Amino acid sequence: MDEMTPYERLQAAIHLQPVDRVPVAPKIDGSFAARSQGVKLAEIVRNPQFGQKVLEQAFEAMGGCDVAFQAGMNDLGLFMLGIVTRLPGYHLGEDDLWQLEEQEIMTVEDYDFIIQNGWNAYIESAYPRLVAKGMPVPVEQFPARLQQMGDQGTADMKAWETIGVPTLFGFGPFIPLENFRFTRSFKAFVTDLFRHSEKVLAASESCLEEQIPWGIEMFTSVQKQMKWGYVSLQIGQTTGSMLSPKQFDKFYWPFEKKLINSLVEAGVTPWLHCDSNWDRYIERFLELPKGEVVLDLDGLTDIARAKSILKGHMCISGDVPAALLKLGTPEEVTDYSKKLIDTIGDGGGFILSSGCSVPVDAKPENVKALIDTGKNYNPHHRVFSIGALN
Amino acid sequence: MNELTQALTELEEETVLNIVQARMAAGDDPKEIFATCQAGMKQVGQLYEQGEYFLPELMMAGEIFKQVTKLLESRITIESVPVRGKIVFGTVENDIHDIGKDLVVGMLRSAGFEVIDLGIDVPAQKFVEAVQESGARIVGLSGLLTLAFDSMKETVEALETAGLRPGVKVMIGGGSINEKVLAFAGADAYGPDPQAAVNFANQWIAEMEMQNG
Repeated sequence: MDEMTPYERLQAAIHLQPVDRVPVAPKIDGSFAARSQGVKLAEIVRNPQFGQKVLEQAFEAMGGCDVAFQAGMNDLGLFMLGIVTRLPGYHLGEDDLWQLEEQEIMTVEDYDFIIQNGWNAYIESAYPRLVAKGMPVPVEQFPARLQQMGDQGTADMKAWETIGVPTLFGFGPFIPLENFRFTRSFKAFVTDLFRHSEKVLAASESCLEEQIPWGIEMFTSVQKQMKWGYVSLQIGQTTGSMLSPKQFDKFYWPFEKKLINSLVEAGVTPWLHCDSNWDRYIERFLELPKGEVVLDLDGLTDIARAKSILKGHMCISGDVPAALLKLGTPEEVTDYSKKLIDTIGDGGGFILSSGCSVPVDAKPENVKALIDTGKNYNPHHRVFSIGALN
Repeated sequence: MNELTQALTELEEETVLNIVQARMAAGDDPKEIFATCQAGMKQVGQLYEQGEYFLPELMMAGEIFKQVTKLLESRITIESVPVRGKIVFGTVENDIHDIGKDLVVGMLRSAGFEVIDLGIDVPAQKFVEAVQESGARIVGLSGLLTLAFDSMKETVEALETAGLRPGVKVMIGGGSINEKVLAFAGADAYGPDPQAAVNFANQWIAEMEMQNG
């Protein structure tokens, strides 16, 4: 098989078609990029343009791969999702890692507000509360900064396109429960599921009603500016894995399915980044459109079992564990990656990646080992070549 | 099953609180009411182990149990209820995640353990001091970030330096913890969920009681 470009390779893997080799896509975000390049984390938080440069530098230093990720943090932090964020250079030391802080920003009454006015209006209404909790952007500057951030995201995607690499976009429509959970704080959110279930459901409906058309419009406008006309969206999902089947079917799955189906119909490729263990709900992903969605696993879900169930239906990405990237040796990372390519890569539909984001304190030689293995260990190339000859 | 135990098992918040208040008004023994609720919490733990209940059900049960405890505290000091054992718990230094820690602390408390919760971003020395002051023989270290691995290792080493390690069992937990991290940190066990922490604690207390004859 002829050598593919990163874009062709990625497209083929997602659509379950033959590839020249597995696409390699460790989730390198700003934290590892900065630390590995000797840049203080606060520097990229203050200056997102510089953050993109650092990301490109780290990408090259690690040997280059098939998908790029966004820097992931600026002075808006996750405040823009109603989540209190502790940022280096603002609340933490210059080189400390950003962290989320559990705070109850959203109140029970806000469910009613969201039902009436939607999610975006809720976030706007929460600005003063967020500023009071340390958001470094003044209320009046927030809308302009959001716009800037969107523009920066598009500029970053174009920069990666010039380098020849597709990007994964990290901001857009979401599964409602995931955002409620964070901005409400987990403990309060959990009791809401029992005490205010009707409100939670109605607010979820209201969110999707607003977020689906808003997200699709945003992505379509970005897509038009891209040479490849391709945008993929990373959607985080953690909360669903913590729900009992009864609650999963009631609060989570109908909304996730509706969101994913709408995005796929609009030509956006969702990457479902599954934090924690999703073993019990893997079969449900068979209900999502075939060959259009990536299931990105973080090392806690049984990836071999996921493959056996989703083979021929869904591309799987993963799952070199964060602990291995930090504590392991390059040989161990190579062995783990080879095993993934042999087993999960069998028959195609696989992207070799880190489990979660590459941790800030991962050993650079381990990240290189992951990338090298993905690029050079290629048992399937032979299989596909023989198939082509026949 | 007792009506109160059943209501708690089924997470019927209002029913539980109504029954507790009615029994208190009727002059029932508060310790007996407390024990009946503990039986409900045990059922909840079993349903969790069977895969019917998940974290939210555990947390909701913990929330109801906390309210029951508050009601009963006007009549008895909960300290007078036999304690299963003392545990020092916290999220290690450089990590401010508290969800996982709070869940485990809540589960351990409802399982009858006295938990000294040191909070988040806790330096190694604080764990040492808390063990010295409380005489606890179990320590729980929580952390979500890979940065926490180093702090867990430092905490275990600090317990060693203070000469406390031989008498103390250490469990660790958090998103990316695995066998490799366990070996790195030098702890005794790691678990994937709060119930695992309860199981370790029960097992260790039983072993310690055996040793003490």
